[in-house]
Amino acid sequence: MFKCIFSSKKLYGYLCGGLSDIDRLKVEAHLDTCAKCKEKLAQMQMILSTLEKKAPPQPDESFWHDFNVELDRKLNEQLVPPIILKRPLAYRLNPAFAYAVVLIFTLIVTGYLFQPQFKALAIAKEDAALAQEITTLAEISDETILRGEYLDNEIEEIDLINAIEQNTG
Amino acid sequence: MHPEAENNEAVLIENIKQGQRSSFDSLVRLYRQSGLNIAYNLVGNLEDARDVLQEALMKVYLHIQGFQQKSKFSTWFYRIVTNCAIDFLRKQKRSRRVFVEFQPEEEEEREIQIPDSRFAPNEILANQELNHLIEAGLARLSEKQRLCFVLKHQSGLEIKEISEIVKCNPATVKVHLFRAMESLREELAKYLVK
Repeated sequence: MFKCIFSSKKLYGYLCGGLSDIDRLKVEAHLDTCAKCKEKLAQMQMILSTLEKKAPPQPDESFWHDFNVELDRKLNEQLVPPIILKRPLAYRLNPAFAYAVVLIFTLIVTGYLFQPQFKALAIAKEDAALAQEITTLAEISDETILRGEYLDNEIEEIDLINAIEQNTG
Repeated sequence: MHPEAENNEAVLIENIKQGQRSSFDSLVRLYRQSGLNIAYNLVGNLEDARDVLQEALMKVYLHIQGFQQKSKFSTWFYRIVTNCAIDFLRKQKRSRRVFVEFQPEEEEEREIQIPDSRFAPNEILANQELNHLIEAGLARLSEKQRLCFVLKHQSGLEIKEISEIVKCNPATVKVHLFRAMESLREELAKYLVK
């Protein structure tokens, strides 16, 4: 038995009316002699006729009324977005930025509050320096006084010696 | 489309660009059914199709300024619907077409739509079962193949329009269509008894 090599594509084209006149005649001539292709064509016809019998839905007006109402609602939601209350400014700041602001504020407040104490500390430091200077000067003058007394004593000795020499001379 | 209708559509689009919601409502009324059909054929049930269509129409309104009218509005709109449906299915992470359940009211509607007593119940059942099998087969196709097949054979769009929606050339669309059909036929061959 010969295997039919006739193109199934031509059979489908014949069924859908997409063939030229010459091709259509060729298919018809082949169908007269080939039972297998006839069977294929019949199967294709059955599939298409079953699909054609399946009627699309024909909804009534109430369906379309509800459809339009819902469509309007969805369009309005898209076109007019709902009002959203914004959170207070503080809660919308970047946390790192917020912490930096708080830190700087704290430093400023601390500086302002402890300013007199800082001044007192500075004065105390100045006093301490002054006191040190005074002490140093006092030590120097003590030494000077002692050296002066020593010199005075020497001078007195010299004067005494001179006086004695004059008296004996 | 009738030239007068096209002109009206162009006027509506210009008014929507100016912000007129009433013109947008008119445009929705023109395209809602065809948009719902495409969404339904892709996602498989009415509730999800409604959500997909609403999302698509919202995108149309919000991005209407970007529509330059170089292509037809229908092509642009169907592309948005298709993309929304694809996004929806990807979010679901499963193909809803495999797990489409028969709603009791759909069965009743089907029976009402086919009141002819010549149809035997077992034929209706066979048709429903075949429908399920086809749906399952479509779920196993690649995304492009399924898209092209559904847009062509369920939504009734032309190949040129499909090529603009899926952004590939018409020859590629034809290849996708043929491969989808061949895959379905091979899978369902044992069920498709004469």
